[in-house]
Amino acid sequence: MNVEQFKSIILRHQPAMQRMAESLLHDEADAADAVQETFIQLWQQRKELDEVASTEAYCIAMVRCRCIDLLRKRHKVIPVDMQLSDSATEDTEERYRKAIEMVYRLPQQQRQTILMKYEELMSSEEIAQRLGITLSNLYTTLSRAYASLRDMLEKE
Amino acid sequence: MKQENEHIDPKVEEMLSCIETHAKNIRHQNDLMEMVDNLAEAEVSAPKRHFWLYWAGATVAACVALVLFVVPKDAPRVAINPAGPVLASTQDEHFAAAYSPAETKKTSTVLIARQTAELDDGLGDNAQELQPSIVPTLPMKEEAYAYSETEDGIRVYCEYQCNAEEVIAHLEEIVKQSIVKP
Repeated sequence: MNVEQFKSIILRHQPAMQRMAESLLHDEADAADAVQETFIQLWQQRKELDEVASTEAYCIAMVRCRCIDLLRKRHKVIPVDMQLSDSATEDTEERYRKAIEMVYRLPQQQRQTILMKYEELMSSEEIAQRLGITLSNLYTTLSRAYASLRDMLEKE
Repeated sequence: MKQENEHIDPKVEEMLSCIETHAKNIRHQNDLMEMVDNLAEAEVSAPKRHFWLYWAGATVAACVALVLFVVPKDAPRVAINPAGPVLASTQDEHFAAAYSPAETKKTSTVLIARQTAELDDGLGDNAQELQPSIVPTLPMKEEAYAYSETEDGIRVYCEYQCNAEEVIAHLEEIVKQSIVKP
């Protein structure tokens, strides 16, 4: 397995692995660390990945084991059973697609602020500075965007 | 005045959270891609580092072997053997040469055994005569000889002002040049 093939595995399975880790660890940063460490382990074992029937199940199982080990070290309660459904990834993709579609139906200024906050992960201060507006104006624009999205959801 | 923590409709919040999670995943994936590139690069670089380590190790090993096995030492190549080996001889007589471990680096005692023939009482003169015929070019200490009688004949000891290695080398050279035949 070469580097590009391994990267394609990252693209395919990282979201599901992140969700599994967050559901166990309840912390986004810890979950990201667990996923990263799992990928390091997967890289070292990449020759065996060619023989695995389902790389998704294998990757999720590995990150789950790593999270459980982490919980044991922290003397935390380990969930009896935490399994993601097979369709979880597809649902997430579908929900994302619908969400983005609604956001792009917003007026320009509202759309811009929503995308900067939730897709570019910028802080309110950074958004206000980029757009050259005050924080108060930004919050007003966001409020209007939330109301618009609520109206779209109610109509569906 | 609006505040940042204004209450958001749960459905809207869930929808926006989906977008936020997607964006964070993209960031994590980019970080993981960069990590994989670094891991792959490290694996490529490791053999190069290992090559230099192996080369350095091989050089050190070669130097150690050189010192242990090639550099001449004071220890004799040939253990003292009163009966031989025969390294030189004349038409009438056979001489066996052996040497004792050098006491110093500059002197050694070479035993030149005359296996046949008897010597006259004037052994001292004969010893002087014997020595030059065998190792003519090496400096011999004056009066640095002795003799003893054994079953093999008369043994003449000549002490040279050089180490044993040089004496043996000269004797071997004499054989090679067929000045005398073993």
